[in-house]
Amino acid sequence: MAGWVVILASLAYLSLLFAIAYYGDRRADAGRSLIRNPAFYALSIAVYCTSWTFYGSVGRAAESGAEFLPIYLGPTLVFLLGWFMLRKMIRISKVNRITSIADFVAARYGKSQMLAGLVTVIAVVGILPYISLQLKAVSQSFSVLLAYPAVTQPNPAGSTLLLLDEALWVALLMAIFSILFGTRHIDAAEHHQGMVAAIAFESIVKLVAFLAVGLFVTFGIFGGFADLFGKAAESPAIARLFAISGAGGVSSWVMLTFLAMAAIVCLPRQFQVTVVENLNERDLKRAIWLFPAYLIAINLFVLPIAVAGLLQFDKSAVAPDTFVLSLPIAEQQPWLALLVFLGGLSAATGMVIVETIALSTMVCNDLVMPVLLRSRWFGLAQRADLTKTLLGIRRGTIIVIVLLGYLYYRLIGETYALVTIGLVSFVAAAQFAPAMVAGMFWKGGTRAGAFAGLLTGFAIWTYTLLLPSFARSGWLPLDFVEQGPFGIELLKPYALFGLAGFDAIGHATFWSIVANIGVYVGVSLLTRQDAIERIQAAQFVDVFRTGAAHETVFWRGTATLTELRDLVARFVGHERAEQAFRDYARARGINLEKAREADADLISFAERVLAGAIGAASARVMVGSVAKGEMVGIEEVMRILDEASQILQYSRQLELKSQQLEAATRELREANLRLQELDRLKDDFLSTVSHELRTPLTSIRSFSEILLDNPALDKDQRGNFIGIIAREAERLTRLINQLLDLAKLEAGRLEWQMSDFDPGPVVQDAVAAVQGLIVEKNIALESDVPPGLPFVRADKDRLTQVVINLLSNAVKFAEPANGRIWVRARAEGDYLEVSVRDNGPGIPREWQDRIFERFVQVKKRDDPKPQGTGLGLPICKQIIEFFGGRIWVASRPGHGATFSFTVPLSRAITRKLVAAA
Amino acid sequence: MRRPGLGAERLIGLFLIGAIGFSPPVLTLFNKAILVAGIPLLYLYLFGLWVLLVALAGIVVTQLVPTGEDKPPPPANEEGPR
Repeated sequence: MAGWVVILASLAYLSLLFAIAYYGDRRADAGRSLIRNPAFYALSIAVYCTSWTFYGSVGRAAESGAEFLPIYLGPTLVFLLGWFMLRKMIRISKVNRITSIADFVAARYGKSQMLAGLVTVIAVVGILPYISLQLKAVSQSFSVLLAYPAVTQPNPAGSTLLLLDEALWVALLMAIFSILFGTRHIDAAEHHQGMVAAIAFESIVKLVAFLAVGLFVTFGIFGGFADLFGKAAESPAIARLFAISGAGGVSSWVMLTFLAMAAIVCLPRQFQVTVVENLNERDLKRAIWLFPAYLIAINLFVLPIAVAGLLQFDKSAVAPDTFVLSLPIAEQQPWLALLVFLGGLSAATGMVIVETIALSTMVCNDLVMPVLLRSRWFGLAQRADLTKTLLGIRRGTIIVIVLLGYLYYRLIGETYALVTIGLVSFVAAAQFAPAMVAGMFWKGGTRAGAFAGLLTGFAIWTYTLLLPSFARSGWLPLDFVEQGPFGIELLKPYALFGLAGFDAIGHATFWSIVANIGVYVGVSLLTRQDAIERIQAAQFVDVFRTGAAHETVFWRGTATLTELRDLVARFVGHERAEQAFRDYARARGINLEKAREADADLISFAERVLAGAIGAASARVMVGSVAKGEMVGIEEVMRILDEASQILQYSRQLELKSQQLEAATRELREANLRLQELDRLKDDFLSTVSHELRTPLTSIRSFSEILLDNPALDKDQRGNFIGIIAREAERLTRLINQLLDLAKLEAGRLEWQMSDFDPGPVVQDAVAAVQGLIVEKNIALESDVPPGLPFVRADKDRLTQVVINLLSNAVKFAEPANGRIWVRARAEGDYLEVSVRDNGPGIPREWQDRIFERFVQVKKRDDPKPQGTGLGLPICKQIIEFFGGRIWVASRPGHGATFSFTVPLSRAITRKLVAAA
Repeated sequence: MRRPGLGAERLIGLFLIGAIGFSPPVLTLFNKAILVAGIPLLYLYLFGLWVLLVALAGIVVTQLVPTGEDKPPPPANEEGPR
């Protein structure tokens, strides 16, 4: 195939990516995010599948069967834990404005610049082999495709002239793309939405390409899975791939799963897409299953392609790493071959772009800036605007990293297969896992522990993997690998302390991780945390409890507002700084124009804004240079916290006590008023009662004295006097009875016999009881009591008493000459209403309210002598109210009076009880 | 009413199934170089379990309800200054 066709296709494809990224950024700037769909998030995480997956998996499968799979099973397991672990990581990073993995580790352990620097160095050195892998894959596939229609082996790395080496041009092109989309803004906490869109697109392309070649091989060259595997089973050399062989296979299976689990979290590019570029925590829900589903899809045809390659080619003639491309070429499928090449290019460019952006942020924030900020001769502290400097550093870093990757490829690349190169990087990245994961769940990890653990793990990685790879490529004497340094067998890099039975990767993983965890935990247990470490540890571990609202403000000093604003402006640009401060002022409702001093809260805010641009550790140093005073010491933090909480508790107790006291006083005052009122009522009652009792007594006494003193009174008069005595005695008895009744009623000691009954007969009985009086006084009574009234719930005798009382009152007051009384009973809603009307003089309005009070009697104008006891109506009222009814009077003076009362119906009460239950 | 946090715990359960199902002792049960329905037994098992786990995860994630303490931070903090 002509070189220009391939180059043109590659350039066209990269331009398309460029257009997508550009469009994505435009949409993001306009506030209409292109990648709002959670599927973009899941697809961008699929940047995990690089050319290692695309070409290397088949190579690995052709060597050792199922051993390519743990690399994808590990991430699947981690994503099943995603809601538990990744979400916490995302939340922590959003709250703390974390921009990279170095930032994450450094922020957890007290915003340490040393730690951030160490993580950055490990990341850069560790990832270089991985980048070189991508370059190797692209240049390999390029040269294989160029030879079309012949199936050839790729040229060894470094065999061509530098300027003719396509890997160099690929490297530079990728660097340019990274620069264009990774370093537009300086606030790195902002998302590279265009880049994410392009990465997601690349994930689709590489999947489609791989599936296409898989389908072609399985169903085009062979007759389906059964045919393919059936032919393979005939060759013992190939059939052995169907099972994992030997103890070494089993142990490396476990190691690879563990490495992949660590890598999906700890690789700088995975941290970038999963955590930093995450727009919304909810997107994780989709990614939890969609990303593993993607992994399944891209692995489905790995074994079929590997088996097909082994069946079709002589293994010594065609490298298994190129089977994916060689098979379509051998079958004369130029367009499919071109698609495969573009898929591989996708996988490689995606990885390089995200990786270099993540690494350049780390190198700039955590290696270059701290050094520049410290060096006096650079005069950085005085320079006004540093945003350009920051961008320049990042762009330079990207180019340097890609070129270093290229250098590694030229020096080492040829010695190893793709997967082995990648695994070297995985082991390096896995060194971050203990400090990161333990840091999220264990508050006890200290800065010294993390530093020592990382350093130990990295040192062992260098000794057991990096240096031997140099040696095997001829850049170091091979003796120290084969005989051990200075001939000491125990220190052989591939069998450290005599450990055997692992391959090089498993061996290095075991020693480096064991040492890393051991030293991390051990040193953490032996050292103490200072104030900021303890604060940060708590903030990381308890992120879901404290959240964003609880900001730890532990700057003791103050700074002038101008200084602070200038500082932020120098790193993030004048406009953005102004905007940030304006937002802050608006959110807190304060006017920054008037303030001259910035308080601790504002200083913390400025630190967070800076952290987004230059990392947590550098931000702290910069803010510290402006803020007068220093960080609060640990004892002070604890004392402040203790004192504050104690004072708070005291004042809360005091407040509670005084509230209780006030309430008690109020109750006492009310009780006192009630008592006074009762006392007055009692006095009134007693005087009234004694007066009422004395009247009949006086008349009884005086008439009996007359009878006693005048035995000679004539018979008529005597009879008359005795009649008066009897009547008065009867009145006295009635009065006392009613008094007792009332007392019992009020004390609630009366016995009630409640039952359901027909109220009609009760009213008739009452009418019959007063019939004698009515006839005697010649009164006309009209009774309007319909038959079949609904039942009421009451005490039958008491209800009769009430009706009789009202009737006898009516008889008393009805017009003497032409007296009329009307009795009426009706069911009204939930009540029975009974009314008794007379045509007497009526009751004046001012008396209508008081008529139901004790001893209140309306006296007839022409008859000063009271006609009743003054207790009848109060007793009626008590009885009716006990039944749950109401009693009242309506009257117009001169036109008679109507007394009415209500009694609840049985069915209403039952209904209420049912409803309440 | 589903207990809050149950979805997350079910995912952890799936993780444990996966961790055990993909571990060497269980794999040795299927580690035989034979074809079942034309496909190597080991691969049939690995991909079958894998697909099952992912499908179940897809169902479980719909049950994930952010509880009170899990409320994401306000958008102002997410976006940052522009």
